[in-house]
Amino acid sequence: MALAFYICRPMTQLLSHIINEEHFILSAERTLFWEDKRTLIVADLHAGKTGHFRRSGINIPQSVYKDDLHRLLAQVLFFKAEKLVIVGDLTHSIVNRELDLFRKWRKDFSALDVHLARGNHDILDNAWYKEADITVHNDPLVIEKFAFIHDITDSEVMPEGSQFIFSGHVHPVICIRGKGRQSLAFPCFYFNNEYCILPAFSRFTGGYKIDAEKGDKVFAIAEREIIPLHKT
Amino acid sequence: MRHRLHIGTIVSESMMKVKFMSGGYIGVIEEWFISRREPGDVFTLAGRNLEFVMIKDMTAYVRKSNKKKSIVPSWQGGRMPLSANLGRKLRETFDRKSFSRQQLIHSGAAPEIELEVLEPLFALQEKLSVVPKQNELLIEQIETKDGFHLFVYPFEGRLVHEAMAAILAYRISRIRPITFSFAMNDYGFELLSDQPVPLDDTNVYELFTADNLLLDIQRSVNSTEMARRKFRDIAVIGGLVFQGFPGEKKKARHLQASASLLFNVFSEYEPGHVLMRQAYQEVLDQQMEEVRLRDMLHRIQQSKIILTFPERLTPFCFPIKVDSLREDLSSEKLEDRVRKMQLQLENE
Repeated sequence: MALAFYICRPMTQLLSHIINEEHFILSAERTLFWEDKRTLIVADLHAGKTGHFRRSGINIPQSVYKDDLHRLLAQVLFFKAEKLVIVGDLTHSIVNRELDLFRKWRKDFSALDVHLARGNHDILDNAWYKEADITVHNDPLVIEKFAFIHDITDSEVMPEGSQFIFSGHVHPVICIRGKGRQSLAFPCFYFNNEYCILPAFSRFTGGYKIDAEKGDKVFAIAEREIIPLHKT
Repeated sequence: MRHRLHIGTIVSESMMKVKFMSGGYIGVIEEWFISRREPGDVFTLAGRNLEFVMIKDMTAYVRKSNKKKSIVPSWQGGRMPLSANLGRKLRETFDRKSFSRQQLIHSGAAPEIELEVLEPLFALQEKLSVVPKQNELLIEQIETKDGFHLFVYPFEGRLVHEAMAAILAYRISRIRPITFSFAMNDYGFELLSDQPVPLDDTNVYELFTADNLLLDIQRSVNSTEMARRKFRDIAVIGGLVFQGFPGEKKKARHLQASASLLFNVFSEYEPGHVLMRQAYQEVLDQQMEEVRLRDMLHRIQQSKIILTFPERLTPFCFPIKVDSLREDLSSEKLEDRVRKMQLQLENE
């Protein structure tokens, strides 16, 4: 069955969204900002993915990765974030030279407090994270009433003390259909009453089409715009 | 080593191994076909009726079945396009059809069994619309709940139709902002839109003109998916999509990216990449055969174009309409398209 959605508000690059009385800002650059805690939340950076491919002789342009880092830089500066929470898959695979670029990026923001909820791609040595000054959480990271984990299917119960979960992993994409068998697919934020799935931050990632149920909130990212969609 | 492995590759549909639950290997089948099967479906492969059980590790597991009824697998390779000569023969056959059977027997010629079998369909087509003669081009415009369909039947083969559909869609989309999805088979092509198609007897010859053909070809290639599809083959041969060494069980970890994702990344970050240029070049050379397109347009210019507005779907258009392989071409803004989809949904 085709998903039916309608747009509730005009499109913008930023959109405020309230979860459990806390204010968040959704950005069309695929990030989420927690105003009160000055915390920027992103998912699935897959740093070094181009490098991993290039090392194997597949020449993906490196500019994708550099652009990802620039976008993250711009987001941190724009929101004046003090804390960065990555809900998994910071790096794509084993160490390669492109990760030095990330380390350099990290050094420029030494005041930024970086937390990583370990994802399936985060397979580097603990020493690497320590050197990069990144706090890695193997157990669910809980900040006040919010929990941060990589894959929502890993946690069947709400981590203790939390009421809402932020997650990544899926690279969600929503498909909308119109008359004349037209359809468009966009990366999206997905919210229901218990958790949220963030879109993959990196542009060098595929997507997985998700289904939304009545009452869920979906925010599609169409190029530089963010479009709220509610299921009819 | 890896790159040398790929030299001379003929890119096929992605295949899946078929094995018995007990472990015996039967053969391979195209992935799109097997992934649509539900457990319990019975299909025929290697002369056996097999019941589909499950898919695991890129292998389809089956068990023997005694059911009499089974699904016959279809293969994408069955979509070989008509050649120019065969297309012409087909149009001539339609001409002969207009002789009645009596006349044929009278003149001593043997009645053609194919035409006889198809007679009921021709009769229905004649009733709802027209069966075109050799020097005619039939265009049907039909409105259904899907939207506004425009069917054109040049009988030139799938590849030429795809190119022609793209060019026609491009030319119409210059008249006013409009979005098309199009489909084609060997007999004709369809443009489907959510708004009425601005095509009538005042501008139809203009739209099928051979003037500016080369320019329109280039522009329509840029705005459709043809290069994206071509890129899939090129990415495999060029080693961008690594399918694993022969005999290797699991694919290389962390090295998978779909050709479509690669196409997106390249178009945004390195549009001049040699394999991207290759994709566009191959579409222009192999698919947009300028000579054949030009011949066809000249033929259309000299023939009579018949526009009909059938009230329901005709036998000619039905196979095209149900074809699932579709492409898009749009001259509307993305934002407007999303807005419009919203309005349509609210009106329902």
